[in-house]
Amino acid sequence: MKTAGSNAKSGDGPSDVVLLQRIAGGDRIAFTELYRRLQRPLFGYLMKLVRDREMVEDVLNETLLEVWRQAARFEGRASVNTWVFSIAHHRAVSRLRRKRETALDEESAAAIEDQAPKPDQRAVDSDMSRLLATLMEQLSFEHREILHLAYYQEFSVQEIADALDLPANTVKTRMFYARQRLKVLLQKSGVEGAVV
Amino acid sequence: MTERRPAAPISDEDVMELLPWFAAGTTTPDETKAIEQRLASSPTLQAELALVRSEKQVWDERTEALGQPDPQLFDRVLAQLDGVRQFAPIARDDRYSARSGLLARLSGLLPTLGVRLAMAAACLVIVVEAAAIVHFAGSAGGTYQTASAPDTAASGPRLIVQFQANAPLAAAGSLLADLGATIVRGPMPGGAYVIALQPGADVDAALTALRGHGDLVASVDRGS
Repeated sequence: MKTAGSNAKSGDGPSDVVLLQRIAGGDRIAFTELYRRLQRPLFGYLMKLVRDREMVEDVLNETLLEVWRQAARFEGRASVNTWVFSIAHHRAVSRLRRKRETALDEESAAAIEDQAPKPDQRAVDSDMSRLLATLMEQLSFEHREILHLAYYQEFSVQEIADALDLPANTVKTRMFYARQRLKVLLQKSGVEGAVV
Repeated sequence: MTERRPAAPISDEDVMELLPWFAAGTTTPDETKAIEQRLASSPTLQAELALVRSEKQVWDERTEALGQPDPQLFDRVLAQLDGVRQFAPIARDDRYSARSGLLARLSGLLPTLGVRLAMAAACLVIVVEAAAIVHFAGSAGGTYQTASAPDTAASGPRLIVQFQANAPLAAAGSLLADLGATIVRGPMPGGAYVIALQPGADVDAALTALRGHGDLVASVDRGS
């Protein structure tokens, strides 16, 4: 589901890099255009991680101001897309840590896990998609993030490595453990054969 | 008839790791070819791919359903721009200069030119030390070197630190000096820095110390 925010070619208007160069010069029209391209993917990413809409909009606000502030320092080592997501990642982590949401996140995940469908509820909740969606929301911040960037944002291994400042092998390992965790949750919910 | 070049060997474990990216179409051409070959003969991998595709479909649908941010949000952002000073580009010579590297990096912390100049004075000792390191190392310009990281520290454990936006440079520098830590990379997008502790340093103790300075440090994590 590659959405807006990928490097636009001619026909879609100026590329993200050109927009960022203009933003570095104080061009608010370019800033508005980059926001138009990125708002939906950034919002989806932050909602999946932070979950609290008010906090998401605060983090999005901070991220956009940081893009405005640092536009001239974009070095082109990664795409504009991954650079902006990297900023959003750091801002989200910082905000969650400040509010000690990480611990709360684990507590709430555990609470959700307690409410996970029991085998005898399967007949009622037989919709596999709903079950998967419920269980995926129980994954940790890091695991949800890796799933989101690979699945929805369709970032390659290297793009995720760039955005999160991780080695590529760590990205692959983190995804592997995220999916292993999901399989364990599926098995606990009575889905046979989930663990390979 | 065109001879097909066989794909590089790839294990089932490697395929398993790459399936999420294969499903998203973001594996490299070589990986894609190798994965397709393994999939053709492995019912286990085929079943795994089906599960990956289900996960992706569910994740995509749920994310799409989240909608968009408040339309007023961007107006609020625009209204704040006048109060935000944009960074100037870092000249390439400065960015890669061992002698000015630390100052250039730490200057990213500073909100105003006046504060920057004041803190530059406070950093003089560090810069002199950095220059000495570079001098004794016989640096021959053109390659990337860190002014702040002697070789011993550079091989130590790494942490990722984000300083508070209003953190005084001198205080931040003192904190790092107390820990025997040096900046080896940064600022990264978002303003974070990678610092190196001394080899064998107690990482937990360093994390505790940094987290104990909430006035200077916004966040700190273990680096890779």
